[in-house]
Amino acid sequence: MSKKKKEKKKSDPVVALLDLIIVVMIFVMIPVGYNFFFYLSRANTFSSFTQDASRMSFDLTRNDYASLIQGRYMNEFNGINDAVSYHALAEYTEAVSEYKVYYSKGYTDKADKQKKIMDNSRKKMGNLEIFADKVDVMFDIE
Amino acid sequence: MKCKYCGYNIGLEDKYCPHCGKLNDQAAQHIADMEHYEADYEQTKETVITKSTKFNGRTGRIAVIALLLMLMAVALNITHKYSDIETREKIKKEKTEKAVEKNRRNINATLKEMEEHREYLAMSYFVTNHRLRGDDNYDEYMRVFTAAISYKSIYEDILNIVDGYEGYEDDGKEQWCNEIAIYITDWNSYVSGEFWDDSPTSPMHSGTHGEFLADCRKDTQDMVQVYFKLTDEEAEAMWTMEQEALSAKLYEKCRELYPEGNADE
Repeated sequence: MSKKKKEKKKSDPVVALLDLIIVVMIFVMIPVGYNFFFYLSRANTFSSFTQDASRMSFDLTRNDYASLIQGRYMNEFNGINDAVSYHALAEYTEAVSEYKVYYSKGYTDKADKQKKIMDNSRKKMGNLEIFADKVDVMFDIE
Repeated sequence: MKCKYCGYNIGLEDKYCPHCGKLNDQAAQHIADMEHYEADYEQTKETVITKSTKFNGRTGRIAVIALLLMLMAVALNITHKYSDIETREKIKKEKTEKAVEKNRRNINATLKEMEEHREYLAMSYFVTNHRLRGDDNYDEYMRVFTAAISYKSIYEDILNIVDGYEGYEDDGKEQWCNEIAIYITDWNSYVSGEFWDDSPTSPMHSGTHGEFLADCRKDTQDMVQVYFKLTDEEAEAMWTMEQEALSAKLYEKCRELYPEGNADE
């Protein structure tokens, strides 16, 4: 009985070598797989100029309102409308900046149109309204 | 068969006659043969099992290694493809071109609408998003695109001054003023000048496009005038000023109107 067991345990050296190769390859595959998924996700991220809410939030922390406005346009052109409050703030900022020009130049109709956009976007921006107040101060709008 | 001693009917497997009890010689030989064959069969069976198990073990592992190698080759190939910026750009460009080709009618309609409503910012981002500046189908729009993009660039620089954004390289207000001066002084060459080498009556800067270009120039002038508090004369004169002089003038106004740290106060 024990002899039989010993005979059974006697393994094929070629199989052992192949097992070793498989183990080594699995370890090699870990960094290769990591790089693969990393670059694949980057490829999709870089496929357009769109910005998610976290990116737009980052723009705000840097006072980069120009990027916020660009992000809103690019998102809308690519059918991405998740960051509603950030889009509203971007729309508000653009409207304020144009309102200031039209108001200063005496283009009343155009200024009124921008004022309406400002009022509407304020309703959609939720907690970000505090930034709208900041925009008013920046542009010296009453 | 019959027993050779008593003549009783016996079978090939009967080692002894069930009637007289004598030894059946033929059966003994038969049984010996059968045992031999059985031993041979068992031996052959064991050999076949051992060899096939060994074969299966190796083949299976070789198949796994081949599969892993294939996966590795595919992963390395795709990683190489996407880690290279130029290749990534090329893929992106091809994807965009296909999308534009597919949606040409909608894109043309959107462009017309943007041009009609003087949506400079929207048009500028739209052109960038769809890479229309390098598309031969929009040669007629090249001055319009350049005007919209110049407006957008000046607008962004003004916004950076107003909100106090310093860029990724701490550019600051002097840099933004300088960029505005560059776009304004370049306007005469790239938007309304001879850069595009077209005739004065070409559709690039006459008709609808011509009206758009005139309005875009006026709106740019108004924007710069308001944000830098220029007089009407100063605003009109900015188009003919040297770049350095204009940059210095704008920066002087900027320091007065937007002192450092103003945005965070």
